[in-house]
Formats: sequence, structure tokens, C-alpha cells
Amino acid sequence: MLSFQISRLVGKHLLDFSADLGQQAGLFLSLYGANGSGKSSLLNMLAGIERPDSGRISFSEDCLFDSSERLKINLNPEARRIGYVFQDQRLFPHINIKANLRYASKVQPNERPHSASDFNEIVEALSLEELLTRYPSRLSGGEQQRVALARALLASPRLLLLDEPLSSLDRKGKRQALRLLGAWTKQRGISVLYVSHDLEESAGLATHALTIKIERRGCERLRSSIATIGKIEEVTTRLETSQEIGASDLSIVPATITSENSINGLWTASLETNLEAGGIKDNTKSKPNYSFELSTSDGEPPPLICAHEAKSYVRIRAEDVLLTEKEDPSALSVKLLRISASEHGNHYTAQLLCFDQRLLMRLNPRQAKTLQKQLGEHKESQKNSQQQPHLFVRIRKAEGGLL
Amino acid sequence: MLATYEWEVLRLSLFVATGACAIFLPLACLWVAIYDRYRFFGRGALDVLFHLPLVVPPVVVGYLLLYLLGKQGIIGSQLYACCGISFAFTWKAAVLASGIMALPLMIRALRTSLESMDYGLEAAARTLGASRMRAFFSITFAQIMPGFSSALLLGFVRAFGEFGATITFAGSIPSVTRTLPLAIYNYTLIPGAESDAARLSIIACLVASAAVLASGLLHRSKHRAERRVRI
Repeated sequence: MLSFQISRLVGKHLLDFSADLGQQAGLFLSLYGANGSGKSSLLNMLAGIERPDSGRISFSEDCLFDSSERLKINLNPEARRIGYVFQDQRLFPHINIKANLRYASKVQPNERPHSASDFNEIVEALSLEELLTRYPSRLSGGEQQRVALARALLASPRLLLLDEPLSSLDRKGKRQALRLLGAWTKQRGISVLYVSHDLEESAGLATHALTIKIERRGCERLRSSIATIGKIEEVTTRLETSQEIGASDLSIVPATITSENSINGLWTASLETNLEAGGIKDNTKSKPNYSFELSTSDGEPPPLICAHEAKSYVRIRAEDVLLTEKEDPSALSVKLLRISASEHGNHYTAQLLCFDQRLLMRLNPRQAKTLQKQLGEHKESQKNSQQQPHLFVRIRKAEGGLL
Repeated sequence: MLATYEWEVLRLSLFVATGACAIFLPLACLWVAIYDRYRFFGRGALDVLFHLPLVVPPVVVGYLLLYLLGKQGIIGSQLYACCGISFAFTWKAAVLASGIMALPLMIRALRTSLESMDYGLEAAARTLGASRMRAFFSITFAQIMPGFSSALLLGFVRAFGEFGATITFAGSIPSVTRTLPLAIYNYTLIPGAESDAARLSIIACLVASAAVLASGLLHRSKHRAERRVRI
């Protein structure tokens, strides 16, 4: 869908971004980066509001920007069909909310019409009925954000850029907006690029994650680039990147929902188990389908990753993965990959491999010491082998669904 | 009710003020837009130049215009030689003088309304499918409308009442350049014509009041609509 390789110099800060997200449509990308790392600039360049110094941007086989002498393409923002929810909402102050929502269909009645049922669906899903005749200046921050999201969705974009779109909403409002965003974009195959400080905000929807890193280069010169790009389950369970995105204690992994209904608000889920990909011979006595309890914050079933499989993203906290004995009937056999200490050294995080899926586990210093020794000994004894030491763990609980 | 000569003076004054606004309001808009969006050498100096009529005595402006555009003036003599155009002591001079006097007021009124403008809104409009022109007219221009109408009012009233620059550059030629203020001045010089001066003064007051009222009504109807739904 989206691929870009662009650079732009802002003062002494070089923004040098490149990524290729393959051919798949309808991805939900989560973008992380520190303040001032150029996230908003990246979105502006993709939307056509800022012009990169050089490079190219393409989206689903259309070239949006190309600075090469031969082509020299720079599509206008209105021709890119990229929706944008700005951090500062940017509602039009001189017209009321209804006119704000209808703006796109008014200026582009042929290309971007929306049906009355679309309009009503969005207005209802975001509880905007009361606001329609009001003016933006009389709206609270959260209300403005809901309107901004609705306005962008009603402009029928192919790609939607969201720059911290829900920061002023309360938890309930966020959940409501995310539910609509997820359902709406999935149904229409709209790709999403979501910028947020909070990893959990887009959890449950995000399929991929991107991170931006800043490097110092000599006196006062900075360079920003895309550091990581990958599936959400890979990025959140990699020790280095999980710290970058501020989620050293959270694994977001796909799991199959095995229960039809919830019992006391709890579902059962089982980890993706692809024995062949994991390369494990089944001599570990572990069940191939390891089940654990799954709760959702709103009691609703977690949204599915795609319509034809009962799979959802679940969040497993590192503290909720516990070391246990082999005899434990609910034990899951995993391989120990690596151990790293936290910044202050007061706790440790281990990276585990469970079949083909990685997980993070929190360790106390004593456990870490024992395991590190084991890891060292294991490496000594099997120098040429890729085998890792086995451990038995238990997943106490997991969370699914939105926020 | 009004004597023929009073009608004539009033018609001439309205014509001059309207002409001054028609020519100088677009120029004021252009300059405000350029000043706001671009940085270039001489930007500040030009702005000071456009504001001069506000602070120097009007007669100085008139003198400078005469010096530059009079038949013997630096530019005026060239213009007369090559195309036979002359400004001084014609109705064109009256329009030019009153327009230049009104220019700084129009610039100031437009600038205040533009200061609160957020160009990010135009970018937002374009991501929603609006072309550059469409975004400008539906968002930016729609928002500076109140400033535009107050610039129009201020400019019109200033041009209507302009005296010093006009009498210096255009003279006081009956039914050619003798606008309402000039006619009033003329009557005050004639012994026993005080009542004529008073009548014209009342007309001047009435026209100015009507202009203020019209602009106020325009403003209020817009605001009222907004307030009604906001509560």
C-alpha cells in the first residue's frame, strides 16, 4: 500500500524517512516517536501539505510525489485522497458542526459524496446529534476531536492519517471513537496511520508498528529516521523496540478466541500455535493450544483482526507471565531467548519464544540471576546448536479489545 | 428638499469615495496578503510608506502627489508627454488623493482580522478535497469578511470626508473636484453663507451615520445568527 522514501531539512534537523509496507491494503499502522522527532512532519509530507526536499511517495500503485528530474510529480493534497485528523483539530470556526462534517461532500460532490445513512451512522456512533447546530468554539476539546474524526471519515479517504486524534477524550469516549474507527476503516479497506504516545490506545486495532529515532550528528545537528517497522506482535515483543515505544512490559500478540460467549465477562483465548514454524518437536508435553483467560474493558467481544478468522490482538503484560514448575497442569513450554535489565536495574525482562510467537516476561533480580546462569551454561554446552533452554510459564490473564 | 448644487456636490462626493474604495480596497487586500505571507527586502519600509498618510498632515500628501503626478511633476510630466494623461485638478486626482488617505485605515482593519487567521485551516480544507482557490474563498476569505466590511466602511468614510490632500492636489473646481468638505469650506469663506455650510454639514453627518449603520447591521445579523445557535 504505502511506500515512501523522503527527506527534508528543517533548520538543522534532517528528516530522512523511508518505509515500504508491501502490497497489502487496509493496514492499521501505529507510529511512535519522541516529541520533536518529526512525526507531524512525516504526516504533513504524506498528505501533501509539506513538500519533501527529495524522494518519492507512492500509495497503492499511484505515485503521489517524486522529485526525480524525469518525473517531477507532486500531487496536490486534494488529489491524494488522504484524510488527516490534525492534532489541533482545525475545525472551521465560521460554520457550524453540520457544515463542517459536510464540507468534503460540498466541495467535491462527485468524488467524495457520502450517503445520508453514512452520515447518520457516524453521527450516532460518535454521539454528535446534540452538536450539529453548534459552532466549533463552543465545543469542548473532546467534542472537537470527535467532530474532527467524523469529518475526516466522511471525506471518504483511501488512507487516513491521525495525529493524536483522541488525546482529550475520556476512556469511554476513546473506546467509542476507536470502535467506530476500527469498524469503518476495516469495512471499507481504508488504511490508517495512527500517531499516539500511548501504545495501548491503538492496541486491538493496530496491525503494524513504526518507530522513529533521533540521532545526534555533530554540533546541534539531528537526524530522524524510521528505526523499526514490523508487525505489532514482532515490534512489541522485541526487547529493544519494546523499550523504544514505551512498552517494555506489554506484548501484543494475535490469539484465537475459543469461547463463543463470555462467562462473567471473561473469554478464553489460545495463543497462535504453529508448531512447524516454531521448529519444536513435540516432546515437551505442552498442549499445542495453550488457553488463557481474556478480559475486555467494556465487556464487548474483542474486534477481530479479519472477518473470516476468530482471531484478535490480545495484550499480555510481562508481570502476568509467571515462571512455574513443569508439573503444573496449566504450564506452557517456552524457550528462553534473552534477558535484559531495566534502566534502573531493579527488574529484568526476559524474551521468550512460544512456538513461533515471542512474549515478554518480568523477572525479579533473583530469578534473573538464576536464568542468566542457565542461559550462559546452555550456550557453553551447545555452542553450535540453535537450541535454547526450556522454561515453563503460566499466563495469568490477558486483556483484549479496545483500550 | 435639496438644491441642485447640493445634489451635485453630494453626487460627486459619493462618486469620489466609491471610486477610491473600488481602487484602493483591492490594493489594501493585496498588500495585507503579501505582507502576511512573504518576507522580502523592503517589506517593512513599504509598510511604513503605506501608513504615512495616517500620520503626516494631509496637505503634505497632497503636495507630494502634486510634486510627483502634477503636470510638471517627476512622473506626471512623463505620463503627460507619452500618453497625454494628467491627474492634477481633475476628478481622477480627487479619487487618488482620497484613496491614498484611506489606504492605511483599510490596511489596519484588514490586518487585525487576518492576525487571528490560521492557515492550517486551509490545509485542512485541502485534505478534504478543496482546491487552493476553493479553500481560500470558503475558509480564509469567509473568515475575514467582518474585517473586510469594516475596512470598506472606514475607507469609505475617510475618503468621503477627505479635505487636505484633495484641495492641494485636485483643487476646488466646482462640479469637477469640489466635494462636500470642500464645498463646506468654500461657504465658510463667503460672508452670509453660514446656513448653506450648515445644511451641507448635516448632509455629511447623515451620510456618515448611514454608512456606520449599514456596516453595523451587516455585522450584527451575522453575529446574531451565531449567538442564537450557540446558547
